[in-house]
Amino acid sequence: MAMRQFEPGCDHDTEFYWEGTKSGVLLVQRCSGCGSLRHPPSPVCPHCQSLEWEAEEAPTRGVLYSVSMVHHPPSPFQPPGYLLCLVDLVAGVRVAANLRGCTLAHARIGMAVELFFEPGANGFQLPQFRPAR
Amino acid sequence: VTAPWDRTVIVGLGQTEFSRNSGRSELRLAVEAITSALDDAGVGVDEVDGLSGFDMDSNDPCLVATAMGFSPLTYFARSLYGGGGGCSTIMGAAMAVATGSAEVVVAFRAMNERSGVRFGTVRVGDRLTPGASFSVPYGMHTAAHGFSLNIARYMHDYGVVNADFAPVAVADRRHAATNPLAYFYGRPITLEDHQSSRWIVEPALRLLDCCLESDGAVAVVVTSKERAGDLRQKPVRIAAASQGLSGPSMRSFYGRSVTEMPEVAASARKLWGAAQIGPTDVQTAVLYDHFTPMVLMQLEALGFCGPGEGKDFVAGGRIELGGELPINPNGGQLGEAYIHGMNGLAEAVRQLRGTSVNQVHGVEHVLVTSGPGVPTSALILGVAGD
Repeated sequence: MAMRQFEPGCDHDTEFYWEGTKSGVLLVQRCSGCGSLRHPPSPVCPHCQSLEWEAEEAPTRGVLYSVSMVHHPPSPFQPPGYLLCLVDLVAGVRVAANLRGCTLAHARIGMAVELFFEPGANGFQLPQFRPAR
Repeated sequence: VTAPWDRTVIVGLGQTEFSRNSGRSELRLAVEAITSALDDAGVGVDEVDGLSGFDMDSNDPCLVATAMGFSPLTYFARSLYGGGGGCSTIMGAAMAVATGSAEVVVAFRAMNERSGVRFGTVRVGDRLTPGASFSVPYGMHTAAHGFSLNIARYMHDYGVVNADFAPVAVADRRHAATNPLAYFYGRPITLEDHQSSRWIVEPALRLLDCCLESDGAVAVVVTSKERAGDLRQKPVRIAAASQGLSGPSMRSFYGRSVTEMPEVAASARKLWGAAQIGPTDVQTAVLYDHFTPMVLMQLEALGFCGPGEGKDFVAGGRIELGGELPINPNGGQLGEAYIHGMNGLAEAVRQLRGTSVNQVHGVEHVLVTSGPGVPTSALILGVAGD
């Protein structure tokens, strides 16, 4: 079965994130008020309520926080046997994605992983992770 | 000082059969359950002045009120976050009664969740919403997919394995086996059955860790203690009701820890405080069991045991009939039916009336929770005093 191609839905708050993927960077928000990082995108800082922020590139290496393997039901976006994961990139930034290049049996919570991108429709790319080389 | 909750009681229960294919509309199911609840209470259709539904129910309050021929209503609301909102429907009804906004409020849930739109299937629109774009492209579709990451981390942190969840499934199915209303009536399972069931999301959830998908409806009548005096049933006291919201719904990934259920902890603090009792004061509990691991995590967040101690709490038959704290004596949502927790609420009422087929002895207080992992709600029900 052909996989459905990924294309994000964007709004005013999330557009910067998905536009960043077109040039192969994972952008997160740094609060201009208190300097904390946040993800997923939000118009306001949950720590100081500032509306001012700058987009900055997240680190490309992180730590596997959780991982699971979907058996059922099958996804139109993913080949059978795909892994879901959470990755801590830096304090305040945890990203949900797929873990590639690794079986569930070999995935270890706490292991080092690295960011890469998979192509989607219209130039958008999907941030993904694999074991760090 | 009498808490406002104490002025409110549950006086009527109604339901349809629970099945995989009701063969009739969700409106028809709602109407049948409501009619049966009013009959059970001995309340006339013309006395209903409040209606408390679910956000995810296809039955719009206007539609139900019109279909039933209700007189004009002076209270109407829908709870939020699907299964997290079951106890919220009673909380809202009790608040309406306590403030005088309405005198007789009907709470209900009706769904063809098995023969109609199944929550356990993949449902993706042509265009992803901004929010869904951060999970759906990764193949994160069902509640089982989303919760699996919380559960997998919980297992890692506390040295828990999937077999540790089996006692919850075994207890539910044992209780369902002796409940003629249950979908799995007469069909208990063993720990081995649980461990040989297929994976849904590894290493968190096997098939027998997951709730049923069901067609059916449940309705409950709430009124004041005074009004209950001349009604048909022994009233059940609403001792306390509470809600908790913390973080995103179904995708509570982004906080410091994903294993603590802060929404349940917040709701529990409010609940025990309002009822002025603690975990050792309930004789049985109806804990929302969409997935077995969530029962362990709830027991911890509710204060029955410490973090990571849920697996020991549920082991060895402690949560079965005859154990220290029987949980879900109706068979729960793994054994009886999945009606967004409203069938469990009905069981709590039966336990306090003393009419359950799986009656626990000496029941004075029953804890009822709604779905965790989403904004949630809870109730403590008690025997009515004078």
